[in-house]
Amino acid sequence: MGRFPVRFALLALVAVTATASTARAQGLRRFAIVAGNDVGGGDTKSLLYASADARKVHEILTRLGGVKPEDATLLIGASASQMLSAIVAVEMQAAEAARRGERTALLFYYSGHAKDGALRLGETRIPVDGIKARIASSPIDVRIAILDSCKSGAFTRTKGARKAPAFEIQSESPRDAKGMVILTSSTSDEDSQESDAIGGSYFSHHLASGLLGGADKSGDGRVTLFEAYAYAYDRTVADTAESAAGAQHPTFSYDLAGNGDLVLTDVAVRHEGVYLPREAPSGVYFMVDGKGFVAAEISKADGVDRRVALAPGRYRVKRRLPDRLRIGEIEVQRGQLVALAEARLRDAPFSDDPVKGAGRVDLTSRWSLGAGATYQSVFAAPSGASLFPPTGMLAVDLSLRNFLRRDWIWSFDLAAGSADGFVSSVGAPFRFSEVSLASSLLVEWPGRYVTPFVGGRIALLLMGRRFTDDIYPQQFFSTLSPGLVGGAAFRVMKNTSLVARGRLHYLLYNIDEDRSLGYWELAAMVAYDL
Amino acid sequence: MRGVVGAVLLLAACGNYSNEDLEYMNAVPARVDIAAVIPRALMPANEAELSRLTHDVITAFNGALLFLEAADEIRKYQPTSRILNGRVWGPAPMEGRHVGWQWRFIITRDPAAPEMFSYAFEVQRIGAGDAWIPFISGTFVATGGVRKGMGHFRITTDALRAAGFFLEINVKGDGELLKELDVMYSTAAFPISVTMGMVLYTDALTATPFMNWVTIDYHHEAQSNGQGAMEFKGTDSKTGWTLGIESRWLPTGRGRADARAMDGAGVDMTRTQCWDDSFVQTYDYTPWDQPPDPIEEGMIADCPDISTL
Repeated sequence: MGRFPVRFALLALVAVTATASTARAQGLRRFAIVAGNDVGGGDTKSLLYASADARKVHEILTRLGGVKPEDATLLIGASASQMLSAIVAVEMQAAEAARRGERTALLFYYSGHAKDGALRLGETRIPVDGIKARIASSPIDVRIAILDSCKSGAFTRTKGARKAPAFEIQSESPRDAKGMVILTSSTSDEDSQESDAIGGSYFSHHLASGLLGGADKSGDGRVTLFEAYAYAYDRTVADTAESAAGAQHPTFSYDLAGNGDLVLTDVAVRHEGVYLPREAPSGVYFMVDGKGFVAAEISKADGVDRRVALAPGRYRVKRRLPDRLRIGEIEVQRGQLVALAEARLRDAPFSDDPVKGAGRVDLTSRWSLGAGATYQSVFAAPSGASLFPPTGMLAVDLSLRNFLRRDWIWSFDLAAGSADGFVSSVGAPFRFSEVSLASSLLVEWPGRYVTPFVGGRIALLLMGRRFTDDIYPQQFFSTLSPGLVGGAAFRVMKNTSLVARGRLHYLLYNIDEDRSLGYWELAAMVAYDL
Repeated sequence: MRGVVGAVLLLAACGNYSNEDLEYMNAVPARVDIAAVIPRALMPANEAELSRLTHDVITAFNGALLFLEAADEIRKYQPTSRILNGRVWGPAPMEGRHVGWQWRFIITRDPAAPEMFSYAFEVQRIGAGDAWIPFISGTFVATGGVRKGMGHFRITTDALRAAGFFLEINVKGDGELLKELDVMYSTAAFPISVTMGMVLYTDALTATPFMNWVTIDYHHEAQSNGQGAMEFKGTDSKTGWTLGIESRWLPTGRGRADARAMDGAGVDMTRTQCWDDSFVQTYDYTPWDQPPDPIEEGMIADCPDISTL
């Protein structure tokens, strides 16, 4: 369920802090630096969703957060020097704005690896203390840094990070806010976890859902910094409480003078998205986009309504009950707020769960071992069969999932078999033997019971034949054979699946003449997740 | 990109896995395919004379096919190179008393009639720039099956000897040397048929160059059950004497032989002898015998009827 040390996200967002006053917010020039990097160097494993999380935050900030597109910098896979250059550029823009009398804010968000006191940006590093000091000293009125990465709580340690949102900052101070706020996804000794089903880290996912409206506890159509944090905290702790890596506790720290609460997003201003009316049942609503990922996960209480500022598009909605699901579809059109009445949902079994993976899926790379039987035959019969007769083989394979990318399988297989053949032109019977050693790269679509997969394969084929009574010398042939693979795994037990697989391969035969032969192969395997 | 992938696959593909190689190898007869087989148990001391002579003839017949063991040996190996419509084994240096020589074996097929093959085993003095000298040459028409078909091969030794190639071929161990051997055979279906014409120098130990030779003709047929026949006829080039023997036998060994002798001056007599499964005489008719030896012993009705060959 949880994916840990894999994910570090530093979301440092120096942004806009607007006071609760709309008028004041309108007078604030908001900048954003949003960075995501899946790669953290040689001693780390690639993250799966750091870049995706950054893109999501960037989209929300520019659509709902009052950040003009030209003032938002999105850094995907950037190096340390590129990040520092972006900060310098924003500081220069902020200084220019300040000279014009504008108040400024910066939201700095980072999602990626952090390890040994440094943010890992590919093969480059920035010391956590250094980036923190740099943001703290930036000539910007309000700076918000959000770090989504393992042990990111170290970022807030000197400022009295708190494990619980024990703050209720509802200052009515009319003074303009100045200072720095830091949010981190976990404490200094916790891992930050990703979820395959939601397609992101728990913290960033819930933060984004909150910013879309889920966190608007006051119901005023605006999501403040503290509302967003409180929402992300509650949901992250709840979702990770039962994970193998343990509960993950976001932290918060602030050092603001004259602060009021800071509005991060205005979910009412565009008047588009989904509206959960007051009378809608309470519970957690999942809004699943067309790609199967959860665009928003909204926890609704009884007697309150919620605006969810989803971008235009078609969504499937799910609410989970103890014994069934309630699911439905809605389409959000530009400028339209769609009310989600309970009548638009219908009962459905858990097997119809629109959330990919039907729950939280462990994103940790994992191995599986398979064994079974295959049968292969060349297409160009009978001439092909007189060279390579149809052959049954025993096969074992070792697969590594989620190592290269989510839902990608890197597989190695070994198979061996033999068959009787006959060279009709000379009337010679022979015993054919084959050993294949191959590697496959597959993409799978995990389902609750059935997981289809397709991909490519390259095989080293070692073939030989021995003629009856040794009337002719032994012959051998080796070749590389590229091919396509497709099939499905049928889960029969928790860690055990039956796999049905087909392959189509190209076989270049070049001894007598250059011939492009193909062969097909069917297999039945039993796979066990290690 | 496609070219690179193709090149990689092409480079990665290697081996000797070839059906065509087999077809070329199939063109050369194996000794066992055409050698004569007659039941040969422990011979009794009183073995019928013509039975013993038949065994001797078969031994000589099969001995003449020893040359094919070279082809059998070569067939154990994949071709050295593949040429258009052909395969080549060698050149490879020779050993023993043939150091300084090399051999090669070439088999070609007629592209217009792929079932027709020609082959030649040749030797050459290394480094002298001499032409390749044919030793064994032949043709084969495949009809399907392991070495099934019709063929002919010829062995010649005069050119080899003239070039200084050491050739010690003593078929009978008495100083006779092979001059030429022609073999025609059909293994396409039973009965297998082999006709051999062998020319032996008879004065190899006493004359240089060799002057006299004997021509011996054999014809052998065999059924799948072991029933067989062997016809033998030898003519001495010096005396003009001719001896012919026609032997037939059943799978059990029981058989009959007719030996015909002609002196070239009008004498022409045929002796008939039959034997049982133990090769002991059951009938004998020897027209040139004189009393007290009987001209005829036993009854001709005791001879087996082997008329199917």
